[in-house]
Amino acid sequence: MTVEPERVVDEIVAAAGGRLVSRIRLQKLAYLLDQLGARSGFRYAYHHYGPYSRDLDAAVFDAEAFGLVEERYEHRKLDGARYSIFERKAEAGPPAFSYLGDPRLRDVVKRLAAVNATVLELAATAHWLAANEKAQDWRTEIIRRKGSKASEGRLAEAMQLLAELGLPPAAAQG
Amino acid sequence: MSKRLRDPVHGLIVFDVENDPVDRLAWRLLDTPEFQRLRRIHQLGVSEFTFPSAVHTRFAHSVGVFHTARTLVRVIAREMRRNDEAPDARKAEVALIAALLHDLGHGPFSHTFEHVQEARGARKRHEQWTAEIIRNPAGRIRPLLEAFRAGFAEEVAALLEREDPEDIYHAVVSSSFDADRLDYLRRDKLMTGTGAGGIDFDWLVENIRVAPIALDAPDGDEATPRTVPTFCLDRKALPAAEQFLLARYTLHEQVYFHKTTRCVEAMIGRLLAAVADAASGAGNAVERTGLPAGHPLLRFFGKGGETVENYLALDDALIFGSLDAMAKAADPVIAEMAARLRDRNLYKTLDLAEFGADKGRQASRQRWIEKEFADKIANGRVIRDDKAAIGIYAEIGGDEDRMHKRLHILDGGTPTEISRLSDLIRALEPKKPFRRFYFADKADRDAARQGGRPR
Repeated sequence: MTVEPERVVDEIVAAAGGRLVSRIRLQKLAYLLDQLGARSGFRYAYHHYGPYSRDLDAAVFDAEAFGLVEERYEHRKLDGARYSIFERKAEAGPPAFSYLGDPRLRDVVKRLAAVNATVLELAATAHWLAANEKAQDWRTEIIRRKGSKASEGRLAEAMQLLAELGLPPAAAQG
Repeated sequence: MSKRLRDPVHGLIVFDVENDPVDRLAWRLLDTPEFQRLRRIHQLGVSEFTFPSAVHTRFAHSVGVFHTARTLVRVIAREMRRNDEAPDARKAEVALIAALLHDLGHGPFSHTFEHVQEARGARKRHEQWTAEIIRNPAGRIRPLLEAFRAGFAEEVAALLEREDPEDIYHAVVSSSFDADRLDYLRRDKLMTGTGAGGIDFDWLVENIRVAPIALDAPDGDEATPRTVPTFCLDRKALPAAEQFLLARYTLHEQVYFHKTTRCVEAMIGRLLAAVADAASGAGNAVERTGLPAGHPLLRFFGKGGETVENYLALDDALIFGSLDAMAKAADPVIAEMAARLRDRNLYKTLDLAEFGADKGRQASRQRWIEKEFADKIANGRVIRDDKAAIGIYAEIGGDEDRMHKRLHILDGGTPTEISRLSDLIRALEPKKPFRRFYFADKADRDAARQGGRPR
């Protein structure tokens, strides 16, 4: 049975410790969790930050509408760039994990909540290219699409993360 | 002798084919079958069902984008000299031709077709089709580009495929002030006839500056981000910048996400999905779809049919011209959708905003309708549309805008995101969803409207 969409958002934020930073991180986290066996029921398509789900975007509205999670904004000191912060609302009560019933998945959330969003983007994109687009040479393709974003050791970090999670293409290589 | 086109947005667009090699190349590209196809794809897809004059094409838009790109290339040269740097003529040539060709890969009804393909598990987006059409050795575009300069086709395709900028010339095709945006905002406003959404184009262009911005998306970790030069605005243009973002916001709200337009898109999506099923499944596709054997839709959706050649045979005109034939299809969904679209007998819309602005109330009503009409949602007699949303920094489709697409103002010389400086823009930061249902039967719509109300 598929879980209600707002529960997916609520449980991810809860498993992260009640607070999760950045919409990009939320999207990539949900994608990777689904690859690890979580069953959000969401559909993903490729966007410029890698796999992205409109269903999850709509679920964020539902999570707010049903009073589970609140989205607020902060700004990077350097240039004022805005980013989202999701926080569980007190009235949501203690989380009853069903979508993230497996404690290992909750540990993954805790771990990934602290990973740089660009590294997460690269990890999710590499997985998407290898598993969904069946790219013959996913490494060339990710560098073509992401340019310098994939440099400075970030792609290596993303591969390390996928290896840790046991996901292709890193796991397939290892 | 130069060549001239008249344009309702830009006036006279001149191609100096004798003296300017880029203009000469651009003029030749217009005559290729791949570019001429854009005359048969409406810029705003099915918006003409709502705004009858919005029948402008991707051909006219692309020419306008090329013209605007020339302005932006001059701005780059001006600003590089201001920064004691030398402009790069070769990169400018790539950017200009990329601007002209950026829409080659759009399918019929653009994003609607893309969503149908997405639902079928096809992974190729219009940007990838564009690059493939440019690189196609059997096509008419590539030889012209290679005759201009060896390796030029690859340079143009690669620029359009790149998701993030590597230098300032990328800003011509992708930035907060890219040529695409600067053309479509003005053209769509003019052609729809909407009074909202004007922009102060000359003042904006006069105040464009080139400065390095942080490229990495902010995620709260305050790590040192990579930087890249892009278009920013002098602080004097802050009011014009606010107006520019509001124009984009307003066009989304009033035109692109208009409930009737979205309803027609959903109906065309249902029609094309049913044709794709018939073409790729068992049974007699000709009988099931009403389309003649060898019709481009049957070729494309048939097994192994997703080739560049078959893709280029698809356009809006082909599909509208096939509605009458499809109205006689054996498949009841194809027959009904085609006949309804031909005669503009549309599904009836229920916008959840009718229940009030309260998000909780809207979400509860949505759940009630989903439960009450579950069977009809499953068989397509009721269509749910809850995936459209607009924020001042959300791209079409809903994902977060990339950093180089956000608008930066030079605040004391430092590029600063506009929402930091403008209360007006900050007020529009939260994303606003559009939640609708479309009903085949008016009685169902009326029942949903009544039943969904508080008792």
